[in-house]
Amino acid sequence: MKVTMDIELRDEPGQLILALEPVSRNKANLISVFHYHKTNNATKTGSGKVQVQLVLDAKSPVIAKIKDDMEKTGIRVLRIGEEKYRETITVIMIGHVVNTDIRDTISRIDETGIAEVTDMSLSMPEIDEPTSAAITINAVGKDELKKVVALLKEITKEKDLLLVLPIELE
Amino acid sequence: MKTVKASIIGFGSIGQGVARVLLMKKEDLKKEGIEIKVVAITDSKGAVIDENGLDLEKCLAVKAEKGTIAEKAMTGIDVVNQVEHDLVIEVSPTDVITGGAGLLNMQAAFENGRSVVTSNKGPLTLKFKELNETAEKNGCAFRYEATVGGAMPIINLTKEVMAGNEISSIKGIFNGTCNYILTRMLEEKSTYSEILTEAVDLGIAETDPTYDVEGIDTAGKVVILANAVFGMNKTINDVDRTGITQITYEALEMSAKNGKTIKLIGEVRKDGTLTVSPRLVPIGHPLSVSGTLNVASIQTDLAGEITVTGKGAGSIETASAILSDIISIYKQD
Repeated sequence: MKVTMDIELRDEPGQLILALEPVSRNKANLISVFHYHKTNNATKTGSGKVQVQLVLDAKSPVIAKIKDDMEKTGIRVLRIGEEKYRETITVIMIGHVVNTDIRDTISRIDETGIAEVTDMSLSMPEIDEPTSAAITINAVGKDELKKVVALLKEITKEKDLLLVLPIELE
Repeated sequence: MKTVKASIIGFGSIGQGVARVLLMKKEDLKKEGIEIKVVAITDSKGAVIDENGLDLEKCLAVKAEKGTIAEKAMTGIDVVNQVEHDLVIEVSPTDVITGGAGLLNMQAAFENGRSVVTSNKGPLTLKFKELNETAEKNGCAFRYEATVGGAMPIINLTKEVMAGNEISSIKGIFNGTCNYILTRMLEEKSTYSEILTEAVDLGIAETDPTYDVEGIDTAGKVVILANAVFGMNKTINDVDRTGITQITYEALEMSAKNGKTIKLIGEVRKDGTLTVSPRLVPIGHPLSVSGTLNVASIQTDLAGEITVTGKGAGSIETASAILSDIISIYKQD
């Protein structure tokens, strides 16, 4: 089964490797690592600590063993839950992406509660030229992804941006 | 041996391609039990007629030398109405707004009991149902493989070879000019307008490229597929259409970093949704063909996904689709 594991690390070099060692030793499949302090939802847990979310694919006893092993090395396991996001897409937007309030675009996706923007890159060749943006969105499931794509179509139409969607999206 | 008297209406690039292919394949046609006797050819200036059959080599030479084959002041519709023949090869310039002369030529052909083979999209994007009904009422054959994807077989493939399969969608690249521009923008790290200029210089894009780059040509083909394959009754106004004019080099570069490329994709779904829009296609995906190639992916219930690719333009390539339509009408059982 896929689970999320929220852990708290000291904000120091080498801490993440220390945390991943029990994952490797117990032969769990590590699917992804999210550093919360790199996203809009930055949540430094205070006093030089940082929160990281691991997504793992392993059986329950293995997850329990990883938790024990982590705690033995002083890593605090905050919570273990089912993976929140199962679907990911990257879309391209072209036009006056920044001038039409990119924060608003991102917030409207994040506020749905069913998806969030996890990565974005921008390219602005010249001041008067259109900006190109690649945006990665994680969504809870396929249906939720469809809803977010519909919202994105609405936003880009309102802001007169060209939205380029993946072909595999039905 | 069945002798078929035919006219070629329109003697531009495609019409001349048809003449060349008929000359090249004369013996092969005989093996199929068919002799095509072209009794009339028209171009924008007039017509040349010989009810015993024209010398096609001579017609091509005259066209090359004088720029026209006109000997008589007759239009395409005059020939269709007045010259006795069986088959109208309608390859006049297309007009997706009004259907142009092609629409009138086709209607007149059926009313005179003549079959039609065409590469002319315009009339089919506007009056598909009416044209088919008129053809049927008058006992005429109506074939139009060359209207979608040039040499790439798709209409006859889905209607005949894949009969029995339920098709849920067809999507693909149906315009070589757009595909060339998008391919070259990334290769040359260039802007849309720089590559468009190159495409015009090479004769790949028209001087006025609107029809291609705004997705109108692709939309016309999507309409023909919707009507021919799915039995819908759509027109070009039913297509949700976006072209490629806003695509930037930076967007192509970002897509490439994500393992994808941007292609202008036309799509028809059995729920009646018709779209033309730039889409992200994974590199290595069957639809990520380069240059001027066309490609179509057909989703079926029994055969799964079938992908066909081929040259979408070019006089000989388009004429090959016209030839296959002619053979399918007249081949002796």
